[in-house]
Amino acid sequence: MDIAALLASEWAQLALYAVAGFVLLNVMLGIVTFLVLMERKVSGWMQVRLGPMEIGPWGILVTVADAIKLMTKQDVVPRHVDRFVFRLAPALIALPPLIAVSLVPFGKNLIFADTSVALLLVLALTSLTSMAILMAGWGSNNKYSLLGGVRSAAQDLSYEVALIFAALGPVMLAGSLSLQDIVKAQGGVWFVFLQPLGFILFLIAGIAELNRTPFDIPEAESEIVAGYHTEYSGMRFALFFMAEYANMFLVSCIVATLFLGGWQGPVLPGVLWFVLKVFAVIFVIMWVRWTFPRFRVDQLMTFGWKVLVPLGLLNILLTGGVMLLV
Amino acid sequence: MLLLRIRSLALSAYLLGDGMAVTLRYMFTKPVTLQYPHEMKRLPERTRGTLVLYADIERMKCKCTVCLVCEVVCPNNSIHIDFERDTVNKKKVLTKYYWDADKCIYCGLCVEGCGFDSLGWVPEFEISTTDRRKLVWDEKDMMQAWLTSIGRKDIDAKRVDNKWY
Repeated sequence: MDIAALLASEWAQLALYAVAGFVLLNVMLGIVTFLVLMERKVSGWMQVRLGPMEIGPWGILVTVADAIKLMTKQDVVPRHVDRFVFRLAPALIALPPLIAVSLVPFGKNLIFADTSVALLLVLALTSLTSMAILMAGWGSNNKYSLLGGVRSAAQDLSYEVALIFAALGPVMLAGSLSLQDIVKAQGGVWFVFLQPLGFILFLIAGIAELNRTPFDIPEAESEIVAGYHTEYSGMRFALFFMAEYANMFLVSCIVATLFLGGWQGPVLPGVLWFVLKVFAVIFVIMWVRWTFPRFRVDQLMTFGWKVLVPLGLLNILLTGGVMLLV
Repeated sequence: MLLLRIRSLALSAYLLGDGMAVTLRYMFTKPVTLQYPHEMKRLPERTRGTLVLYADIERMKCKCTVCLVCEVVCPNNSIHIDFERDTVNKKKVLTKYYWDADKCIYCGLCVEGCGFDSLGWVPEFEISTTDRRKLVWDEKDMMQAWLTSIGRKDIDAKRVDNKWY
């Protein structure tokens, strides 16, 4: 058997991709674990208290303890749920962020799948999340869950429009939908300085897509029990939980890629810059969560359609106008 | 009209930023958490932690004259006193002083009622056990609790003055 031919063959390529995919999956799970801890610690410090401190030194093993706890809980499937939909929803919500992370450029040559329509794919995958929430709300056979699910669906699709308009700015500036090309086009100046309005719009719409405070009406504890994931316990709930943090990581990656220059940066290696930017954005998202009260449903819809969408259109108009003149 | 809109938009952006600045400032404030098993708060001397009988250290006897005021005044009968009459001078002599630490509501009427300064409070609150029978204290336990509290050097070392207000 010719070793060189074997290594260059298609089987080797596939195997390599499989191993890389496995590594990416595990890295994502590790990041989600860290993010849960980060949220609890940051929220604690912002409330003048320490977060978890007892489990592991300085509380670092808290997410592990949480995961073990959730895995050992009884899996309750209520009797009159729509069984297929109920069971499919947690799996469907956890997958899109894990898939979409493979499209994000982590470094100059560090991208899992460099397609020419990467941004479009990422936005399409985030739409899958809203569908999964609707499935969870409907499948739970519970009026509060249904309310949470449909409110979330309405919110997600409204802010999706605003998100896309805000994302069009960098696309126009870079001339391509490929995320790697957009990062490469920010070699001179990051797009956040050329598109401040777009940056703010994308960040706000992104937080709304994540169903995080102040846009967390679908899952707000004091309003609607736990909204669309009321009926889920144990590992199913853990999947919802994990999906929220994976989505947060994904949205932060896209913000860093589109506006903050991705892996561009002077002295340090690209990956390090990328990680710094992503975690800065994640910190800002958490900071916003622990500062503001939540929107009422009608305020939320008004804000999405009557404020963000016109501003998004204005952003596109201004960008196009300036590009034409300059 | 448009100017008003723009001004209100600018004002709301400033206020949002102001709110976030408050949260950020809180983040860098020293946390008020007292991490209990490792750090303990210094409690005032008259804290109603545990009921104790003051003991006459040399003779290891309590100062109780068996006037029974504490037993009578206790709102839920947590104190039971056994006594016998001294045949010589007809005075009451204490045989057993029972205090139910689990029934007691820690109101302090017994301490206020004692006219002979033999009953008192100490700030010791870590008296829980896993056996309910050990929560009924007799006079030896109560005197021992007082002696322990005045000599507990290890707690004083742990007590951290955590004044943040």
